[in-house]
Amino acid sequence: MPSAGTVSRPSTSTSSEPCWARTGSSFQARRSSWRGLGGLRPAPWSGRSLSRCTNQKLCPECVCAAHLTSFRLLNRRRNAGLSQDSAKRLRFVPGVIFVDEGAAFGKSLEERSKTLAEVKPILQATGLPWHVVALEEVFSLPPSVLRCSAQEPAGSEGAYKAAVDSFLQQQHVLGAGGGPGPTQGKEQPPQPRLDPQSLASPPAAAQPEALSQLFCSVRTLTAKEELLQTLRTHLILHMARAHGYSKVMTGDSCTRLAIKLMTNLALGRGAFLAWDTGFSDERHGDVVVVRPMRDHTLKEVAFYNRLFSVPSVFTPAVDTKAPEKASIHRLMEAFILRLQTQFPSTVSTVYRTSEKLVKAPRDGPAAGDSSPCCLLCMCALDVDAADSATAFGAQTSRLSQMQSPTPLTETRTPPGPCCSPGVGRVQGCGQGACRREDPQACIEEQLCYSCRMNMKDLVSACPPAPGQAWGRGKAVPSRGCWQILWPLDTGLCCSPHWTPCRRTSWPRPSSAHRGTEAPTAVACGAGASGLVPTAAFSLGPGSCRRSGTV
Amino acid sequence: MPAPPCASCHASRAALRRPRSGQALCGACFCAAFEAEVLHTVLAGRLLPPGAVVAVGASGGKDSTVLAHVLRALTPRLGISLQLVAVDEGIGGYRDAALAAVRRQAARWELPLTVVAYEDLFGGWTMDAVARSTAGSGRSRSCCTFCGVLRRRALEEGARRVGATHIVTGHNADDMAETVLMNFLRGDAGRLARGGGLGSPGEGGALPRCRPLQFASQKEVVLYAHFRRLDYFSEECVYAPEAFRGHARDLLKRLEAARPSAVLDLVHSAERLALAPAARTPRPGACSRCGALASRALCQACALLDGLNRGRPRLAIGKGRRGLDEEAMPGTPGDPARAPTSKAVPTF
Repeated sequence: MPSAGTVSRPSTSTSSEPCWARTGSSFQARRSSWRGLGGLRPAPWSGRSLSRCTNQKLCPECVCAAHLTSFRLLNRRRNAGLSQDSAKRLRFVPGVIFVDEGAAFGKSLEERSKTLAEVKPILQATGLPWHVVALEEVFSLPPSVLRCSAQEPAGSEGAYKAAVDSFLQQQHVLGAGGGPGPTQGKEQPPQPRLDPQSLASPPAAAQPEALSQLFCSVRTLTAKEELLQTLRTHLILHMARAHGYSKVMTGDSCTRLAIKLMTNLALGRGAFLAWDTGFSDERHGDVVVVRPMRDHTLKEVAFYNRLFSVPSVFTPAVDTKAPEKASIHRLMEAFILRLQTQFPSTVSTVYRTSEKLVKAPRDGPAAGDSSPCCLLCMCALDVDAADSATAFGAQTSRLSQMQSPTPLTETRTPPGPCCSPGVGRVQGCGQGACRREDPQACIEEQLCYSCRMNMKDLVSACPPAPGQAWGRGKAVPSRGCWQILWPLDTGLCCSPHWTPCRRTSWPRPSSAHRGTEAPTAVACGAGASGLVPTAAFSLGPGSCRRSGTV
Repeated sequence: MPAPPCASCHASRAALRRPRSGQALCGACFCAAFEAEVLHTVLAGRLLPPGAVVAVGASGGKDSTVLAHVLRALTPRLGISLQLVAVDEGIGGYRDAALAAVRRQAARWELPLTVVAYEDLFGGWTMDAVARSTAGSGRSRSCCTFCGVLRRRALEEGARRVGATHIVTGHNADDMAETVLMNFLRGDAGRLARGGGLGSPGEGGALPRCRPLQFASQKEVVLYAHFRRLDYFSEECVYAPEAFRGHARDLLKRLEAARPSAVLDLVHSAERLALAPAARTPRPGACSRCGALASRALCQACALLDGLNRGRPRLAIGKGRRGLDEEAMPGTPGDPARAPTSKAVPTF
């Protein structure tokens, strides 16, 4: 076993230096990711961790501890760090979240429960509160996740949280088993209460099908990955809000962020690069997404996992075994990793450039609360007037479209499989198209450039038959972000339940708000029991790197 | 499988599918749409005001050929007059053939053509001489660095000679996308902050420049040239394979294959990049030697020539720039063979 001293550490950040040896990180790596790592193949892991904090201040150790598979580290931190005498005590209590995405790519329930059975012991071993949530639960998100906080003036998170709480209570009363209650008592191993419910509850039976149908209706892998990302973010944010976490930590390493940066550049998200890859991402208002691992390279993370035998679980992902040119994500990843072997400064150069990016829009006023936000990614809209002399204008101008006798929406989505792919062709959808035309344009107006591009890859699928568990009717109000996305597919936007809401502002975390939480944090830091979770969550490292090997 | 009917005229078979919209169009409809879009870009971006004398940078390649052809077709509509300006970089076996193509085009369109040569402008330096001079100086010869900077200067000079008020170049969307990818890979925040627009408005005495083809992908440019049966020169420059741009170009081709709109998406990203104020370069001043626009004491062209003349061609490239100030000897007559003064002379 190589000694830790042989590990070279290219990125020098003195503040995080002391914690390097303990930096935990797990990340899921595809085989290609390991090509540049000298044959080392630390076990990949694909959970996402959530950490909750009782203090807003993130010291480097805590930050590292929050990372996904540093379970061992979490343990150590918890034992040594949480004790009061320790100088480096952990200032917050992290929680871990695992999003089971199996349904998105058609895994059977057996396969998924097998994965969960592997994940659970690891989660339990951390001794931290943990949550397992299935991706399809995004269908049952309360609309308040997107609506209430949008319409509330800044500073009224209380009302929003009350709304969420009442929703959760209602869920418990109904026995729907939407989300797990917050795990109480941090020192006790958390009860694995969620997974049997979430996988066996009645709505869950239809939801996985709906989810995999949705992913099947996306034509390109690029759009699939973006959709998955969007859904995962919404779900994790909801979990964070529902459980009172104020931060979500993701395990993106420097290498992953460089790849993500270039990918998003190619996806037309140039305006949001600073949001998407910066250290902190406040776009969601009350819950801040932080990326504490961004100073460490993939290689360092790999070494850590190797040296400390961090446990891991393999789960395939959307792009597992996909050819390199299947998606922009894969292409960019392969390109950066390949270039990195030729020019070892590639990643750090890209990463350093990203630090010079700012969140304010380029020429306009500072990111005002008044500018409308994209419904899906929640960034300020970056589109210009349709006829302006910009890349956007060039694609939307009447000139580009004037040749076409068909309306805009039709030219963008060439008539393809309209019902479930491969079943019903064009017939039967003419009516749907006319009906959908208006709302679709209406929705598109509220999306940013990149999300519009992704929407183009979404083949219209027929709405599910009414009466299905997640179909029209009662389920509509509780569809969460599907209120927005789903109508594109189902025509639900024509239902009176759905009104496009134009989000104008998100509540920003006010200092007063923080002030109210801080005392809780201090109190919690002292005693282990009765902690009120106030801080964070985290998404998997690199938002989920997956290994392509079996 | 027969091609679908043209989505515009419904009469003939479609000849291509447009990358940006997926529309299937026939050749004639595509050319009309292409010209209309260039016109729209020029009008909406207020690039060329009526009465402007426009110098078209003509290299003989597809981009400038298409640009000149489209602008010539649009001349009555825009109320501008065109001048072709070609630059002779002095690259043996490559440039002569390209210039011959430019001359044929000028004769066909009956447009006035001016050729400016590096050799005349830059004290006898041709690209071949530069390449020889930089050959022993490290991993790559940086030919494109020299050539790009000097060509820009030469084009400006040529445009002034013909009394032009505006310069247009044939950069297309692929060029812009490659540039933004490359600037990210090189970490060039200054260029990222400046880039993205349709051109520069012409501050500090420089002529306004613009790129009317910025939203046309390379594929469409080539197809337009094909349908209009334009005669252009399509060899790659003999020094090009050494350039870093090759990596970005390669990547872009793959991205485009994965998602046809990726090129325009990248252009959109470039338009929208927001960089910290510190990354933006200070307001440019004037070069102390030639008076051209410069962000430092010497403009880049003068700095490169200075390095060449002192026998240290890499002086003004990258980190070598540091040596520029300490050993600057303005006014020293150029001697390409001169040994660097800082080098210790071994004694025996």
